[in-house]
Amino acid sequence: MAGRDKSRAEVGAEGSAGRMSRAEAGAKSSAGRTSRAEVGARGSTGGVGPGRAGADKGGAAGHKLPETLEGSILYNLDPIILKWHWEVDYVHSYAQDSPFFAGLSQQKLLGSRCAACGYVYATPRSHCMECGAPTAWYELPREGRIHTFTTCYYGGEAFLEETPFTLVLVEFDGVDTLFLSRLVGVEAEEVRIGMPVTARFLRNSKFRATDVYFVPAG
Amino acid sequence: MTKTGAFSRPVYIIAGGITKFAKAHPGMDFRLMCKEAFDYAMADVPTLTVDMIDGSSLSYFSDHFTRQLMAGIMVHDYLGLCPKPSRRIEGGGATGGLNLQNAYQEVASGRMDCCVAVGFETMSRVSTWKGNEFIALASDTNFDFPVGGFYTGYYAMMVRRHMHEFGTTVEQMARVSIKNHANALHNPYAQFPARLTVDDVRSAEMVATPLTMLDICTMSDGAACLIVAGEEVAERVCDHPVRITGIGTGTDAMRMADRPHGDVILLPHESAADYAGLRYPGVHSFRAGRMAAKLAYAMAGIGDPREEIDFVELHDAYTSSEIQTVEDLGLCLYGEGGPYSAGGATFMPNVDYGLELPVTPRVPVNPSGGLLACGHPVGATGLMQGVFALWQLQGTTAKHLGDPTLQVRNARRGLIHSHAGTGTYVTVTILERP
Ligand SMILES: [Zn+2]
Repeated sequence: MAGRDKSRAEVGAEGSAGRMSRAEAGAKSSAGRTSRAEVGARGSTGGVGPGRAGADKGGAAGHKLPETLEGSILYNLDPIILKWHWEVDYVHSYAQDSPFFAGLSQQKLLGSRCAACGYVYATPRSHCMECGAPTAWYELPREGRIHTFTTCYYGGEAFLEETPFTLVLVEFDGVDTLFLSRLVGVEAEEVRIGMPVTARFLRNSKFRATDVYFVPAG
Repeated sequence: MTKTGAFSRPVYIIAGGITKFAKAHPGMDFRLMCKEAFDYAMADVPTLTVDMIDGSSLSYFSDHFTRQLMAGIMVHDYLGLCPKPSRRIEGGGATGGLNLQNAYQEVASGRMDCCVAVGFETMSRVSTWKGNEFIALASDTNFDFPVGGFYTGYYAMMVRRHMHEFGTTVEQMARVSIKNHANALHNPYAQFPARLTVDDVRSAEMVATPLTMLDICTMSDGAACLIVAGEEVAERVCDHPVRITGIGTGTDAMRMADRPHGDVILLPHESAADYAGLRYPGVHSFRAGRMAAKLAYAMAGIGDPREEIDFVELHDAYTSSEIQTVEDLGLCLYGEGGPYSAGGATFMPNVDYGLELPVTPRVPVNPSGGLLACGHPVGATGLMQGVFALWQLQGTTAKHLGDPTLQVRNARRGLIHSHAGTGTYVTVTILERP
């Protein structure tokens, strides 16, 4: 799955983006007016804006919801398309994966090894996917090789500002699985499968998988 | 592993419908899109009434895109199916394929005589790059997402390894893009039909090396619907039902980094000697796809898919995934996917691609245009494949598309393939004209 921003495929979105920016500009230029006024003003093509009638009659029993100055950002009136904001902070536990992230802060790259069948994981899992037995932490060598790679010129919104960046899956001697990381310090055209790479660590740990990254060895 | 479903009841698809797949359908919410697809399907079997439907199976991939929990029941409600049974099916990119298999099971088990499978996605509700971020949450959020979570990046790494192992080229990938976009010129439901050249594909903007904008499918809004029924209902309301003769589902580790290196899972027409020295699946092949194919072939009694399948609709979210998938399905050996896909075997005989094709068309792959050209409204995609496959096997493609070009001649048996994650869930379903 993915999405590309094909120019033609985007025509629809650009069409509405055009409307969007105009509507937003309108909303911004009238900052300070109430949403009712805003909608009412824009609603002049389509009659009375929603909300006005109710507000005008609100005094009957003296019960009124307080009016606020927050408006809505409208992109379109037919159909009505508006901006809906949502954000959230999670309390995320790394739980059984925690020692891996603690290890990064100690400049250690910890995989795991199955005591029962000997399978060795570059990306740790606390139970073995081959036999189900618990694994033990296993310090990976600092040096590995590039198993495969790509340079991303686009990315998810959270990473868009970091583009271009190079992703690598790293393989290690004596280890059965791979490790996903970023590669720095080499031009995109020069990255090769099999290239030896060395792990480096952030000095100030963020307790994220990006606390470790790779550079060309030597 | 060897279960064949031999004790279940025969199950048929009796009708299908889809909305046009588009960048955005701002005038329809997910309920109305599903209603449009449902009404189209119902109109194709006019003697089937809503009271003959026993329940529904609903699919959409992402609560993030939808900004609505329990959207499945909202569709079921909107279609007027309450208080009948329904459930939501979700499995990443394979959501639609899993939905059809669930509807199959509802009928095969005898729980329902008629089940409606409906799926949708509304991806236009966020920007393309926020959408890519949402999709990347379908990768391990401890180890993979924070490193630069981006599905095109993951697939780029997989095809890079495929190129390394087997010599696959970007020109071969470009030919897949040309084929699927050109097929879609004859499919009015497709979002992005286009006539392209290898140069167009390679000079398009680079997204994640070696994949360009034209190697990748689009985000879409759309819905699709299939009506699934047992023999009695099928015979009563439908002149040309199509039978589901095999279903297979495979899985693999969520993290690409965890994919093992072992022996190839063999299909009936292959031998271990074909793959001496190949470490499998690694990140170059989809073990889940091979597993799904193996199970579906066993159930449908297919011994050699190269000879016994007339067309394939597969999950070409990337040009590279079509090349990898034809191998998983055994249409060619592992390693031959590049030349096989570029040579002509998977092209339509009567579409002008502007390419010299040394091999005569044999098993058209993605005659509809696939995800690359139709678009990929995730929860609808696997059902969209089922709708096009149904019309192929009924011989009604010309009627529904308003263009006879994409009708595969004498199509008797088709395969549809739906795929999630980095090959994490894959479904293969075999459909046959009785
Ligand atoms: Zn083990």
